[in-house]
Amino acid sequence: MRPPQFAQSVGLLFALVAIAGSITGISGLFVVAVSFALAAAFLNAAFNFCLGCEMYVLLLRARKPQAS
Amino acid sequence: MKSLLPIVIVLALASAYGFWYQRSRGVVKAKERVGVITAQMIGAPLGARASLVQFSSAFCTPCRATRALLENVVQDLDDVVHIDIDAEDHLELVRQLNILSTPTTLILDSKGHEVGRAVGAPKREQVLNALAAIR
Repeated sequence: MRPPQFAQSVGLLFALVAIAGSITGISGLFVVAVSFALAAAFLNAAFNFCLGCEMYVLLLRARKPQAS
Repeated sequence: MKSLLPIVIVLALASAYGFWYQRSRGVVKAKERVGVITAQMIGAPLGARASLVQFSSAFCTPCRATRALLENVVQDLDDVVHIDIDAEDHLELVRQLNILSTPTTLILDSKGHEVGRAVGAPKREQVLNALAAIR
């Protein structure tokens, strides 16, 4: 089974943004990034919410240009 | 102590979304759709009466639950087939059919018309009901 790499990298991204906000003293950025990370982790744990399932296909669709 | 309030707010909003999420996932919605999905498009023959076409992605846990459920459902029905499609490898089809997340299950009749669609792991009774409605 493949680990949920996508969800992990999303979590990492939020954590990095939060660190950046904390270092630069932009507390708004820190609070928003930490909130998203907390919300995603909580939804995953409590509601079986699967962020990768919701977002991954959308991202794929957005990233790869439409062949016409 | 001032740092507790944002946490409470975030958890409350997340819970509200979570309840909505749980209620809306896996519900089979009836669909009137023009256009036909052909065996050629999905790369596998359609069932004699109906087909369950599932779109999955590799790491998606509910996709595995859906696969197990649908395979179990079609085991008892010899005129219904289950087809599992990797969304990543079929992006054109995903766009064409407006698949927004995985797992998404399409219920097709014998001619390939989409008669129902479930986003998220579907519930067994709903799948059986939708299939029973197809002649």
